[in-house]
Amino acid sequence: MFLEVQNVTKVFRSSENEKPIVAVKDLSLSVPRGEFLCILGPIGCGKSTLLNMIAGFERPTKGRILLEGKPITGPGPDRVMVFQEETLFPWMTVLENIRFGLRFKGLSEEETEEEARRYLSLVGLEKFGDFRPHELSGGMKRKAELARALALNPKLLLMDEPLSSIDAISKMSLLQEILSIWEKSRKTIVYVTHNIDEALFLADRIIVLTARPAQVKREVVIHNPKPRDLLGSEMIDLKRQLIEELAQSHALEEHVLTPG
Amino acid sequence: MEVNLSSFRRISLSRKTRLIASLLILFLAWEAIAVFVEVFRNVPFPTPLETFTRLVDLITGEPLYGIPIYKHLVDSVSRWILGFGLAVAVGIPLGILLGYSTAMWDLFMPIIYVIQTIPGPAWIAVALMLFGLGNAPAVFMIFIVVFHAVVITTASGARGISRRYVNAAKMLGADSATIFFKVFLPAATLPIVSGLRIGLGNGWRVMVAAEMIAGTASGLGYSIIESRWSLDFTSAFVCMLLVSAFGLLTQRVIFAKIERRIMRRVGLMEVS
Ligand SMILES: Nc1ncnc2c1ncn2[C@@H]1O[C@H](COP(=O)(O)OP(=O)(O)OP(=O)(O)O)[C@@H](O)[C@H]1O
Ligand SMILES: [Mg+2]
Repeated sequence: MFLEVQNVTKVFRSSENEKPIVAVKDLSLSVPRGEFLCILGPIGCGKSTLLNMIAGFERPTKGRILLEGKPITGPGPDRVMVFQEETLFPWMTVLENIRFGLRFKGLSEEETEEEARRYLSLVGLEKFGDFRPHELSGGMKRKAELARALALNPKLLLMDEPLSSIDAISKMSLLQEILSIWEKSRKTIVYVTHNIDEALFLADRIIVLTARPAQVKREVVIHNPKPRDLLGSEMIDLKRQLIEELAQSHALEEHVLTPG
Repeated sequence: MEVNLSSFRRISLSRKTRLIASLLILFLAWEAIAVFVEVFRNVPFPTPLETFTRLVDLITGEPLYGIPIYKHLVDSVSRWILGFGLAVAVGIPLGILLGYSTAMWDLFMPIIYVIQTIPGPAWIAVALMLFGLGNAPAVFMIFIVVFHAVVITTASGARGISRRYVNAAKMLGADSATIFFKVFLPAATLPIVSGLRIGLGNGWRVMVAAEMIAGTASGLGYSIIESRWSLDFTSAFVCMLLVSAFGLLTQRVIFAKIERRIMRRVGLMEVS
């Protein structure tokens, strides 16, 4: 198996807050190479924590995570994450941002430049290479971030609610963009979201998580070819089921949050 | 950009009127208080007009406590700049270090917090023992106050703001030297500049207090405290006016401009 998360538990202990927070509990999942996996879960259930552990920013309290059989020990360019928040370096131009990671891959000056431009045009930002991030729209920033991630040619692409701050119209075109990039590159992608439509549009498989602590609640494999019509009856049925699952997670969460 | 700029100018016109109105309210209130005090307490209270007349006298050469008003101002500003400069030279590198390394933070931050709780003038005993009377103890007090403001703002800001950029850089495979110089430092620009701004204001205020107690024999603070004996309260008002005017000019006009330029350079927008 390409990526394996085995019985992972993550507990946060903050010194001020006596009570430890269990963000992820005994969670296992595996991802075959080339799969587009969407992880759906209610807000605050531990999705980012899970991705952070796969990316290597956080260590599991219990359990282990293997990439191609090797345990993950820290962050690295083989698993690139598109973060929930903006992380383009504001003091660099878009092109400089993309070049930043390429510099550590031992490419020559020209190759770096060529690669950077290639990925810039892959996301349709050819004309904006010399712009600073703050001069771009929210959607363009997301694309630039995607280009920076893809340029490293990672084995695994992690995306943490990349479209949560994007307006509905840009979202549609970005979804199509992400899909076409996946089709071209056939990368393994783990895509975290709490938006059911995004998951239905992109995923080969959807994993629904419970409210905190995150555990696998349900798994749905979608065989329908992409791009998908989300208004087709099959998709609508699926959506209804997923809404129900998520609503249950939320209800569970409320129950947990207001004891007695 | 162009559109933004012109709309900004348009807004600023009506806001300028309001600014003038605001100053007018201030002077009217001042005048009212002056009249009130004169009538009910039978104490001559300098009015705005008297203060401005005195200002003109002083500017045109009448000495204040044996010294021209320019010299008082220049001496005050020099002490401020010296204390501020020294504090920044030590405080920024230390703040960056504490923001970068958790171990250093744990080791030094408690000390900085201890220093922070003690107001500038309360350092007078230490200042006198170290430096005796005169310029140096005043500069020392300014230094202490600016120092902790710069260190705390830089360190805590750099820690918070840089984390996500540093994480992104790690993920992109950057080595630690690149992370420090190309990512951490630029990301720390915002807190550094905030630290400078806070330090500048705190330093200016403590400068006035320091001159009152450190025996500097010149300066705006010194001239204000001397009015206790000379009863020349009008001159004290002139000095208060200068403290305020010069403080506003340096911090709200000059530094704000520099700050905006730096922020644009780094591509970061002001948060607050
Ligand atoms: N570094 C940390 N220290 C302490 N608690 C943390 C830390 N990171 C996350 N948590 C807690 O773990 C829980 C899960 O957080 P996480 O960010 O993984 O949720 P999420 O599912 O990504 O939420 P969202 O939908 O808002 O992005 C939250 O209760 C959060 O407060
Ligand atoms: Mg999250």
